[in-house]
Amino acid sequence: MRHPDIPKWPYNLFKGFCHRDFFEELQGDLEENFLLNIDEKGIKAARKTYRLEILKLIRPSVMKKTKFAPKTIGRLARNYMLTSIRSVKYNPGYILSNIFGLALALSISTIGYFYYRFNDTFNEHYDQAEYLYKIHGLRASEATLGSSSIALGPALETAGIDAMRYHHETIAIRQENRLFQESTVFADPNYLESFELESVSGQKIKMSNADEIFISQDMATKLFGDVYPVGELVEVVFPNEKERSFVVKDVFKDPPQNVSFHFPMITSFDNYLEFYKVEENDWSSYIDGTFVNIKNMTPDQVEAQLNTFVEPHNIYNSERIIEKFRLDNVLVWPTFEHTLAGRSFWNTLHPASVIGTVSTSLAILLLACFNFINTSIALSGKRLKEIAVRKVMGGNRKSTITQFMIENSLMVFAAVIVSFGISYFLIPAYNSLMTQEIVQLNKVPIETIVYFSISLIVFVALLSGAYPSFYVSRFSSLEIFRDKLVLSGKNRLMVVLLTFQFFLCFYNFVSLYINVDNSYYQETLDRGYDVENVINVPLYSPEQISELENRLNQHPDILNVAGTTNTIGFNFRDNTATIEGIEYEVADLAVGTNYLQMMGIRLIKGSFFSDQYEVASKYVVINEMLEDHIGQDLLNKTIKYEDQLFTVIGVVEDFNLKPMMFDNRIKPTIIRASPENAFKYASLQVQGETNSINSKVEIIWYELFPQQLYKGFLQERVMRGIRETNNIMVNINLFSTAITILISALGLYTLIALKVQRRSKEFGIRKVLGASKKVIVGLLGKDLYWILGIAIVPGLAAAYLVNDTVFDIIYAYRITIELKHLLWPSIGLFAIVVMTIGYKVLQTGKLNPVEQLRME
Amino acid sequence: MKETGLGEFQEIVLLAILILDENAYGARIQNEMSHRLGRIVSRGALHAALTRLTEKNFIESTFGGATTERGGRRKRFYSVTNLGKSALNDAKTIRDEMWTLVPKIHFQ
Repeated sequence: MRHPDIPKWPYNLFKGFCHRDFFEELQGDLEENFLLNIDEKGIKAARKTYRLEILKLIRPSVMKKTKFAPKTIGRLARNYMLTSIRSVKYNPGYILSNIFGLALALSISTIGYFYYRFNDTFNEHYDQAEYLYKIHGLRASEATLGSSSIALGPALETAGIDAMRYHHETIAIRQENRLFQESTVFADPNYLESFELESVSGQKIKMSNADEIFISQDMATKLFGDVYPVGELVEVVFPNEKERSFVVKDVFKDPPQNVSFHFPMITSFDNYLEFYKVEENDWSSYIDGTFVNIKNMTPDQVEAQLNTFVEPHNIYNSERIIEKFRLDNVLVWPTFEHTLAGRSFWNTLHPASVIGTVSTSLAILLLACFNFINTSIALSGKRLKEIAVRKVMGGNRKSTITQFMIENSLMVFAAVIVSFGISYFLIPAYNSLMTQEIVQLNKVPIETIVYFSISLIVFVALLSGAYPSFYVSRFSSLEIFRDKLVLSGKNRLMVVLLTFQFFLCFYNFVSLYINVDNSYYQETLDRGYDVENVINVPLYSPEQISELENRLNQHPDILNVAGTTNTIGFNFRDNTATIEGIEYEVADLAVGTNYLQMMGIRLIKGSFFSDQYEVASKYVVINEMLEDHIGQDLLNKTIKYEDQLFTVIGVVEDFNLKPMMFDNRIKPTIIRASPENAFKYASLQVQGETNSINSKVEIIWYELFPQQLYKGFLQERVMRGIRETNNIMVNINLFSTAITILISALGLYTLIALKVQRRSKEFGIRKVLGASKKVIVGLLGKDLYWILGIAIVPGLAAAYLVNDTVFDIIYAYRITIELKHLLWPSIGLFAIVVMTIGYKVLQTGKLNPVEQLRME
Repeated sequence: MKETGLGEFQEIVLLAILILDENAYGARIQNEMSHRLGRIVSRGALHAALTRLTEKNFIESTFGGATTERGGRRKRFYSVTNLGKSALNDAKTIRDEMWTLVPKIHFQ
């Protein structure tokens, strides 16, 4: 019997290969040490040790003895190998292309596996994960509360529970004359005892002093240009504009990406209390989260204790009344982090993105396996005589199967080796396409990679090696010798597999074209205002605008400065307005008097605001959509709005209020003038390279306001979400299209070439009897046309449906999928197919029949 | 000089068995060695050494009774044979002789 905690697969593997005489002793020893390790190092480390021990036990002295003497096995293996090598020697081209195709797919499946693993091992990086819980507040009808009161942690500590507070804030760091913003975490010292963090020197980081700070490796290079700047000072400017220096105590290594806690800097929680003026026992102040380590208790005990604090919580939080507290283990909580109210931690990948990636990579792996199967069967057509001779000489079917299995396994093994090489280049390239680095080979224990490769070899060898071996070994020798056996493309399975390959090709190619076209459309779509030449600078107080304006007006690259309360693309209010006695839902935008002209909003009729706020405040500007909505000319009409009457002074063309993601469509909009004392932004119209101008503005800002963080950003930021999404979609499609087409083309070429070889005599005779080149080409391509014809229908349909649905979900404005999106990729794919086989087919058509018909 | 046929690792295994005396079975030997050597000794490496020593007739083994903490599996207890003891002794003698010949100067 296996102890329930012992890893199942390694145990079964061991039971399988271990000699009966040793199993009882060895497994007993391993199990005894396993239990010992659980007590000493925890279950995770114990399981790891067990797996390593099993790996190291794979040695001849432990293994089962087979019925053959070692000498016989050696000789047998040598013979099998010799035949295998010989077959590779005769068809190097086909076999190499087969191996390469498979290797490519294996690399892709590595990516798929890492997506799965990312979620599967989320937060397992922390050794004590099974004892670590986050506190959540359950509410009656609203979303569960992820953040918690500052006072909860200390209250739990007094009750004897190991609780830790965790909170992050964006702080301003001074470097020479400029400030820049960074996020830092404030945590209780016991946080680092539970959620261990490793320093670059390999030790566990321990927090002892409040004026110390720990920084990440990236931060070390960024701040000091030094990999180990221990003892240096980090100057921080806090919200009260007080400066404070922290000593760098140590530099920590970044944890793997699949943990909830990521931060460039961490310091003591006491600093948060001190610099943000919050009280330790304040139930109404909130922090990101409170965690507990319950090594010596059960979750129920802690929850009971926790729920005695529901009352004080509710007294001070009338807007966040909770019913009870709940503990969620850190291994589970990341799966629902995104549903919580008040969330600041990393969560697991969306299941759809994992399923999407895993199924894409599985489809590509299957495709490569099918390709492998097809080519293996086709190749074996050349070896029919060998099989027949084997049988006649007394070889049984088993030995033929073994021969072919060994050959196929060898090829799969070679493919795995080649795929390591491909992955080496492919994975960094893939990661650079993504916003988050999912595939981190260097953060994965080596035995995971070993197990993954072994299971991949076994899986792929069985999947792609078994069928050809059984199929080929079935032939009767008599039929082979009489030349009665025809191994053509007539094999049903081969046809089905090839159809599936082309289905994937059509699907991927069409999706790629649709996504590229959509991304181009969204990039060039007129948003109704100038996206490219505007910089927005958030103000700390409205008075800053005049100082800023005076300085910026001297700058030749800055054409205009406008103060404003709302900025188009980033913020507005939902409001109601009464027009002609009826209430309408509108978007409400409050802007400076010259803001609209500066943003390049286009006037249809009437005029923009007057420069004088006193005059402008009596008027509003509306957009075309609002007028269309109401259905009459609104110029100079009155609109009642927040209990005041305004006259419509102008109507402007529609413009996007927000990025085009999700359901952010254009709304009926009212724009009113806002007074100078309500300004929150200075918007600058600039000419030239916006990024470099932005850094020049930053320098000017720090000359004027040295203690305040510059937060200026480009108007172009409205494009960020859509660009990132489009980038990922296009890149993934490009990736899978290139690979499916490459693999399919390789397979197709091999199949056709083999077909030509096999039927060369037939074609020779046909030619002698007067068949034209056209007929020969037609004959060769016949099956293929059918396959393409059948594959195209579901391929196009799937591409249309999937992309149409996805676009509906994620974009407010998108292309409609038209005939051209289906037509051009199909033509392209046909062209690729024709080019792949065309050369071989034409060559066959040209061959001299004498060459083809002459025997040896 | 006499050939003992005893590798360093095997020598340490023999010594560990002698130290553990009545209690010398796989897991205990492994832990004792890890503890003394200050590095992790894998069960696989120990198994190989035990097999070789048994082949050389330096050790012999018997099964003990069933135990609960091992999932009911029996322990195999090892003991050093007289041949093993004399091999150990020989190895020690050779070493001691050689140590006396090393000039003290090297360790000052």
